[in-house]
Amino acid sequence: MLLDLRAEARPLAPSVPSLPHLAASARATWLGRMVNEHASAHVFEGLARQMNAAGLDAALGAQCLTFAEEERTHGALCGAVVEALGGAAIAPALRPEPFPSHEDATPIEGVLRNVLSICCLSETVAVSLIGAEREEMPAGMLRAKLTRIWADEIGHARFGWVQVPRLLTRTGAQERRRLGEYLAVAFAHLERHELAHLPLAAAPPPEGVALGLCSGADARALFYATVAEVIVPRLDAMGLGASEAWRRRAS
Amino acid sequence: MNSWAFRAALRATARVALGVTAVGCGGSVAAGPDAAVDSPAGPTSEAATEQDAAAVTDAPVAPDRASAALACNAPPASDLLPEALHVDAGAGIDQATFDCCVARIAAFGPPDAAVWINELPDAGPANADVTSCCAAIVTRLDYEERTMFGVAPDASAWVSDERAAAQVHWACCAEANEPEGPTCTPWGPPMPPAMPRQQLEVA
Repeated sequence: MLLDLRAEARPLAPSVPSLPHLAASARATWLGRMVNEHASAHVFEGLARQMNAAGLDAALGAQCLTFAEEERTHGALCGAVVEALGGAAIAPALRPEPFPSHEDATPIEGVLRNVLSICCLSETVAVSLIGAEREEMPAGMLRAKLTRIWADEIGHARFGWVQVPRLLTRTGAQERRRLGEYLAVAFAHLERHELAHLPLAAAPPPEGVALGLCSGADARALFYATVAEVIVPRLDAMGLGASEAWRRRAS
Repeated sequence: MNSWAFRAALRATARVALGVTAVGCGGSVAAGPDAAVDSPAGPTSEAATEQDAAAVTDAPVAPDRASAALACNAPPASDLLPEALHVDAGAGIDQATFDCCVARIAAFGPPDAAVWINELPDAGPANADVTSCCAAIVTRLDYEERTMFGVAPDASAWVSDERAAAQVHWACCAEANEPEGPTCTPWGPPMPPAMPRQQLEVA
């Protein structure tokens, strides 16, 4: 199945620095981001459905649907960069995956599992990675688009960090212990995803930051630092045993 | 990534996790966390960036070492690219062809170093398989990457192949001219994992 965002992307194409020797890799980078961002809309739509089914405040589900729309917009924005670089915003779409309903858990616990994975892990790492890229990118239209995406990702991560403590008040000790068990699974999944998308072979020259190219090795270091210095301590503070879960992620 | 950007990003993320939002409501950024205020580099401009654009590494080309004329039997590049029109073509690249192609392309670079952009020779009678080999490498890696998070996640094949092709992947992305390539693209949150059955029993 193809993801064709050319019609949405072309009117949004920014002016980009002329670095012809990096154009191919920059097109590839933004095309990959286009695909991943657009596919994430399904993740938030699933979360909205799950929250509604769990009987939570309808505003929470509505907020997740807004996040889904933002992910689609990000897809178009990334596609716009591809078009600006002389490429076409069309690529194979990711294969749809089922949203985990966590039938083995209570409804609130199931919601917590997914909010932890989506917002407190994946989106929090995204805030770090995009934030670092933005810091290094010179001012201009491309940085403005990156800033828009980063702002939304902050909102997605923050949603998790705000809602998890609230939802935890509705759980018992047994559910919290099981959430620690789930965290080990989620951490392993996160690490696999990040390493797969941050290849060590990605080592652009210094001027690549102007086009959003990043060093896979540096980004991996930032990923691990984000987990160790932000995510794990914060989840530990909520009593979720994140340190232990991170240590056991590979077992 | 410079160390200041690294720490600044981490600091901003910590503030998000602690509930101190760095942005205004509705997703509009008023000013980034610790925005340009404490940037040691100060404001930058596109013009400055153009000036800074240094020449790309010019590692020596070693075409002689490619003379081993490996017959990799990779399909014609037109059967694999553009990927948008040959979505699952990478599934048809077997391990032997992939390994052969990696060795074929690696022979153009310096030993133990990445083959850089534009180091590959123009396609000609002596190098007719370069384009098809690069197309085979890129499409197989992309196919493995796209499919490894499915119902039965298995990253082992992609990890192994990506490692094997690390020195040539970038050059092949340029050669293929429509690469997924070694890029940093982890942003969108993936589908969360389900709890594996064995973990459930432990829990």
